[in-house]
Amino acid sequence: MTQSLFILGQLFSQPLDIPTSALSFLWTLPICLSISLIYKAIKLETIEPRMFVREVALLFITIVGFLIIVAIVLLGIAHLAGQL
Amino acid sequence: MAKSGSTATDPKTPFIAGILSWLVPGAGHYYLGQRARGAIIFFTICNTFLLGVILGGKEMIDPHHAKAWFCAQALTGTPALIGALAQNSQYSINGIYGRGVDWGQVYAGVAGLLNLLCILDVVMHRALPLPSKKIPPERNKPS
Repeated sequence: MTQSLFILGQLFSQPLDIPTSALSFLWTLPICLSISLIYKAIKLETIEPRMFVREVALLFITIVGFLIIVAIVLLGIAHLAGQL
Repeated sequence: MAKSGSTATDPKTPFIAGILSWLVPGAGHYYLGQRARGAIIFFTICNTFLLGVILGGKEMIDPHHAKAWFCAQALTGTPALIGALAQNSQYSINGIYGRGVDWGQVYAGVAGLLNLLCILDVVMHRALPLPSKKIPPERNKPS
Protein backbone atom coordinates (compact mmCIF):
# COMPACT_ATOMS: atom_id res chain seq x y z
CA MET A 1 0.00 0.00 0.00
CA THR A 2 2.73 2.45 1.02
CA GLN A 3 4.81 1.43 -1.98
CA SER A 4 1.86 2.02 -4.30
CA LEU A 5 1.35 5.48 -2.85
CA PHE A 6 5.07 6.19 -3.24
CA ILE A 7 4.97 5.14 -6.91
CA LEU A 8 1.85 7.27 -7.41
CA GLY A 9 3.58 10.23 -5.78
CA GLN A 10 6.65 9.74 -7.98
CA LEU A 11 4.39 9.80 -11.02
CA PHE A 12 3.42 13.40 -10.31
CA SER A 13 6.71 14.68 -8.94
CA GLN A 14 9.25 13.46 -11.53
CA PRO A 15 9.02 14.37 -15.23
CA LEU A 16 8.91 11.44 -17.63
CA ASP A 17 12.05 10.74 -19.62
CA ILE A 18 10.85 11.18 -23.18
CA PRO A 19 13.55 10.49 -25.78
CA THR A 20 14.21 12.96 -28.59
CA SER A 21 13.04 10.79 -31.44
CA ALA A 22 10.47 10.83 -34.20
CA LEU A 23 8.25 8.56 -32.12
CA SER A 24 7.90 11.27 -29.47
CA PHE A 25 5.63 13.12 -31.91
CA LEU A 26 3.01 10.47 -31.16
CA TRP A 27 2.38 12.45 -27.98
CA THR A 28 0.40 14.87 -30.17
CA LEU A 29 -2.33 12.25 -30.64
CA PRO A 30 -3.91 12.59 -27.15
CA ILE A 31 -3.96 16.38 -27.57
CA CYS A 32 -5.68 16.02 -30.94
CA LEU A 33 -8.25 13.75 -29.31
CA SER A 34 -8.85 16.27 -26.51
CA ILE A 35 -9.28 19.11 -29.01
CA SER A 36 -11.72 17.02 -31.05
CA LEU A 37 -13.76 16.07 -27.98
CA ILE A 38 -14.03 19.62 -26.64
CA TYR A 39 -14.67 21.22 -30.00
CA LYS A 40 -17.48 18.82 -30.83
CA ALA A 41 -18.91 18.97 -27.29
CA ILE A 42 -19.26 22.73 -27.78
CA LYS A 43 -20.26 22.74 -31.42
CA LEU A 44 -22.98 20.08 -31.47
CA GLU A 45 -26.37 21.30 -30.32
CA THR A 46 -27.47 17.91 -29.01
CA ILE A 47 -25.17 15.24 -27.63
CA GLU A 48 -26.20 11.86 -29.01
CA PRO A 49 -23.59 9.18 -28.29
CA ARG A 50 -23.35 7.62 -31.77
CA MET A 51 -23.32 10.90 -33.66
CA PHE A 52 -20.94 12.46 -31.14
CA VAL A 53 -18.42 9.60 -31.45
CA ARG A 54 -18.65 9.74 -35.26
CA GLU A 55 -18.12 13.52 -35.36
CA VAL A 56 -15.20 13.33 -32.91
CA ALA A 57 -13.57 10.54 -34.92
CA LEU A 58 -14.00 12.52 -38.14
CA LEU A 59 -12.43 15.66 -36.68
CA PHE A 60 -9.61 13.64 -35.08
CA ILE A 61 -8.78 11.99 -38.41
CA THR A 62 -8.92 15.37 -40.16
CA ILE A 63 -6.52 17.00 -37.68
CA VAL A 64 -4.09 14.07 -37.76
CA GLY A 65 -4.30 13.94 -41.55
CA PHE A 66 -3.39 17.61 -41.89
CA LEU A 67 -0.56 17.18 -39.38
CA ILE A 68 0.81 14.31 -41.48
CA ILE A 69 0.57 16.44 -44.65
CA VAL A 70 2.38 19.33 -42.92
CA ALA A 71 5.05 16.91 -41.65
CA ILE A 72 5.59 15.50 -45.15
CA VAL A 73 5.88 18.99 -46.65
CA LEU A 74 8.36 20.08 -43.98
CA LEU A 75 10.34 16.86 -44.44
CA GLY A 76 10.47 17.54 -48.19
CA ILE A 77 11.68 21.11 -47.61
CA ALA A 78 14.33 19.88 -45.16
CA HIS A 79 15.43 17.22 -47.65
CA LEU A 80 15.72 19.78 -50.47
CA ALA A 81 17.53 22.23 -48.22
CA GLY A 82 19.98 19.48 -47.29
CA GLN A 83 20.83 18.85 -50.94
CA LEU A 84 21.70 22.50 -51.62
CA MET B 1 -30.83 25.27 -30.30
CA ALA B 2 -30.70 23.50 -26.97
CA LYS B 3 -30.90 25.99 -24.14
CA SER B 4 -31.79 25.66 -20.49
CA GLY B 5 -35.24 27.04 -19.88
CA SER B 6 -35.47 29.31 -16.86
CA THR B 7 -31.79 30.20 -16.67
CA ALA B 8 -31.74 31.83 -20.09
CA THR B 9 -33.52 34.96 -18.93
CA ASP B 10 -31.56 35.45 -15.70
CA PRO B 11 -29.00 38.25 -16.28
CA LYS B 12 -26.68 36.94 -13.55
CA THR B 13 -26.52 33.46 -14.97
CA PRO B 14 -23.80 33.99 -17.62
CA PHE B 15 -21.46 35.46 -15.02
CA ILE B 16 -22.04 32.66 -12.49
CA ALA B 17 -21.80 30.02 -15.22
CA GLY B 18 -18.53 31.54 -16.44
CA ILE B 19 -17.01 31.58 -12.95
CA LEU B 20 -18.14 28.00 -12.32
CA SER B 21 -16.76 26.97 -15.69
CA TRP B 22 -13.38 28.45 -14.81
CA LEU B 23 -13.25 26.97 -11.31
CA VAL B 24 -14.26 23.46 -12.36
CA PRO B 25 -14.14 22.66 -16.10
CA GLY B 26 -17.62 21.74 -17.32
CA ALA B 27 -19.38 23.01 -14.20
CA GLY B 28 -20.85 25.97 -16.08
CA HIS B 29 -22.57 23.70 -18.59
CA TYR B 30 -23.70 21.41 -15.76
CA TYR B 31 -25.12 24.45 -13.96
CA LEU B 32 -27.14 25.34 -17.06
CA GLY B 33 -28.59 21.83 -17.14
CA GLN B 34 -26.40 20.47 -19.93
CA ARG B 35 -25.04 17.57 -17.92
CA ALA B 36 -23.69 15.36 -20.70
CA ARG B 37 -21.80 18.29 -22.23
CA GLY B 38 -20.45 19.28 -18.82
CA ALA B 39 -19.32 15.73 -18.06
CA ILE B 40 -17.49 15.41 -21.39
CA ILE B 41 -15.75 18.76 -20.84
CA PHE B 42 -14.83 17.90 -17.25
CA PHE B 43 -13.30 14.51 -18.03
CA THR B 44 -11.50 15.68 -21.17
CA ILE B 45 -9.92 18.80 -19.67
CA CYS B 46 -9.05 17.17 -16.35
CA ASN B 47 -7.50 14.14 -18.08
CA THR B 48 -5.49 16.36 -20.45
CA PHE B 49 -4.22 18.41 -17.52
CA LEU B 50 -3.49 15.27 -15.46
CA LEU B 51 -1.56 13.72 -18.35
CA GLY B 52 0.44 16.96 -18.56
CA VAL B 53 1.31 16.72 -14.87
CA ILE B 54 2.31 13.06 -15.28
CA LEU B 55 4.53 13.95 -18.26
CA GLY B 56 6.16 17.02 -16.78
CA GLY B 57 5.84 16.54 -13.03
CA LYS B 58 4.07 19.04 -10.85
CA GLU B 59 7.00 21.46 -11.11
CA MET B 60 6.20 22.21 -14.73
CA ILE B 61 3.39 24.45 -13.44
CA ASP B 62 5.86 27.25 -12.95
CA PRO B 63 4.58 30.81 -12.46
CA HIS B 64 8.16 32.14 -12.19
CA HIS B 65 10.04 30.68 -15.16
CA ALA B 66 7.24 29.78 -17.56
CA LYS B 67 4.86 32.71 -17.16
CA ALA B 68 3.21 32.43 -20.57
CA TRP B 69 2.52 28.73 -20.08
CA PHE B 70 1.26 29.38 -16.57
CA CYS B 71 -1.23 31.96 -17.91
CA ALA B 72 -2.65 29.29 -20.21
CA GLN B 73 -2.56 26.61 -17.50
CA ALA B 74 -4.30 28.91 -14.99
CA LEU B 75 -7.36 28.91 -17.24
CA THR B 76 -8.12 25.39 -16.02
CA GLY B 77 -8.92 26.95 -12.64
CA THR B 78 -8.74 24.72 -9.59
CA PRO B 79 -6.36 22.07 -11.02
CA ALA B 80 -3.78 24.72 -11.96
CA LEU B 81 -4.13 26.52 -8.64
CA ILE B 82 -3.57 23.26 -6.75
CA GLY B 83 -0.53 22.59 -8.95
CA ALA B 84 0.87 26.07 -8.33
CA LEU B 85 0.41 25.64 -4.57
CA ALA B 86 2.13 22.22 -4.68
CA GLN B 87 5.33 23.72 -6.10
CA ASN B 88 8.56 22.42 -4.70
CA SER B 89 10.70 25.36 -3.57
CA GLN B 90 13.99 23.70 -4.61
CA TYR B 91 13.09 24.28 -8.26
CA SER B 92 12.08 27.89 -7.78
CA ILE B 93 15.58 29.25 -8.46
CA ASN B 94 16.62 27.56 -11.69
CA GLY B 95 13.39 26.08 -13.02
CA ILE B 96 13.02 22.56 -14.39
CA TYR B 97 13.67 21.52 -17.97
CA GLY B 98 13.46 18.49 -20.23
CA ARG B 99 11.46 16.90 -23.00
CA GLY B 100 8.85 15.60 -20.55
CA VAL B 101 8.46 19.06 -19.04
CA ASP B 102 7.97 20.56 -22.50
CA TRP B 103 5.24 18.08 -23.36
CA GLY B 104 3.69 18.51 -19.91
CA GLN B 105 3.51 22.28 -20.36
CA VAL B 106 1.92 21.86 -23.77
CA TYR B 107 -0.69 19.44 -22.41
CA ALA B 108 -1.59 21.59 -19.41
CA GLY B 109 -1.55 24.75 -21.54
CA VAL B 110 -3.82 23.23 -24.17
CA ALA B 111 -6.15 22.05 -21.38
CA GLY B 112 -6.36 25.64 -20.14
CA LEU B 113 -7.00 27.09 -23.59
CA LEU B 114 -9.70 24.48 -24.25
CA ASN B 115 -11.32 25.50 -20.97
CA LEU B 116 -11.22 29.13 -22.14
CA LEU B 117 -13.17 27.99 -25.19
CA CYS B 118 -15.71 26.34 -22.87
CA ILE B 119 -15.95 29.46 -20.68
CA LEU B 120 -16.62 31.62 -23.74
CA ASP B 121 -19.17 29.10 -24.99
CA VAL B 122 -21.05 29.02 -21.71
CA VAL B 123 -20.99 32.82 -21.25
CA MET B 124 -21.60 34.04 -24.78
CA HIS B 125 -23.62 31.23 -26.32
CA ARG B 126 -25.37 28.90 -23.87
CA ALA B 127 -26.41 31.25 -21.09
CA LEU B 128 -27.64 34.16 -23.18
CA PRO B 129 -31.20 34.27 -24.50
CA LEU B 130 -31.75 33.45 -28.15
CA PRO B 131 -31.62 36.50 -30.40
CA SER B 132 -35.00 37.11 -31.96
CA LYS B 133 -35.04 36.55 -35.68
CA LYS B 134 -35.69 39.75 -37.56
CA ILE B 135 -38.25 39.27 -40.27
CA PRO B 136 -37.58 41.65 -43.14
CA PRO B 137 -40.60 43.78 -44.04
CA GLU B 138 -42.31 42.72 -47.18
CA ARG B 139 -41.50 44.99 -50.04
CA ASN B 140 -44.32 46.10 -52.20
CA LYS B 141 -43.75 44.87 -55.66
CA PRO B 142 -44.09 47.57 -58.28
CA SER B 143 -47.32 47.10 -60.12
